[in-house]
Amino acid sequence: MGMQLIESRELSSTASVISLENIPQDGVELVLLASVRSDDELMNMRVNNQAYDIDVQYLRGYNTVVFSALSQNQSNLGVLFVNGTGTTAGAFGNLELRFPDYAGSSTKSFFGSMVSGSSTTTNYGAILGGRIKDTAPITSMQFLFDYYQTFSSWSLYKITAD
Amino acid sequence: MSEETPVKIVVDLSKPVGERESIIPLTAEEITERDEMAAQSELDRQVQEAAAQALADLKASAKAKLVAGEPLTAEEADTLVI
Repeated sequence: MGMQLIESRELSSTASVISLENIPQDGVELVLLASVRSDDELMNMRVNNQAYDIDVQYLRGYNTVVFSALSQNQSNLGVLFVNGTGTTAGAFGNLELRFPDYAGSSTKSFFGSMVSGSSTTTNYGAILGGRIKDTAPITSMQFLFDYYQTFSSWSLYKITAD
Repeated sequence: MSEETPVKIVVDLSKPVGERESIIPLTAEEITERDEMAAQSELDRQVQEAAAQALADLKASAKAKLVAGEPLTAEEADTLVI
């Protein structure tokens, strides 16, 4: 097993959508790491630029409240909370998402975790997992925000079986 | 919200490193979809967090009443009995 970097970027200007296309299909798992600053609060995600039917279970906490939440039949996946005033250097959200068997022909599952930066006024943390009710290989990912701020960064890795 | 024109950064991973990125302005349709998605997600988040806070408040009230020997409401009792 090996873990190989596919691409890593840091934004030098703002953007609303980041689309990773033509993802190599020779891995057994995708791993996405992101550190995001934004003036928005929730980053949404789609795969293959499709409004697939998605179920996701969260174990989520913010400040002193912890709870679980099930979101079913979503057309997009909420994957990262950021404090909405996150335009300063210390206010960001971090995310790790994994997609096992992303290139296969079975229903796609995912799991991951997220946490917002400690300098924000509302601190979010969550573990999430679920499935995308479609069997198409994941060839692209789209991440949607109001605005990603400069210095937001992400890295995409693949795990290979050799 | 920023007044800048929203853009999409497309990274084509089939291309050589250094030639992968292109920056494309969002279409009006994409902007509308993005805004609707963000509004729905925010609404979902608020509903889930309000429900979680209400449950936490109910549990706290039930606990306080138990300690004080006061009767619980049916709603408060439901938070303690599975």
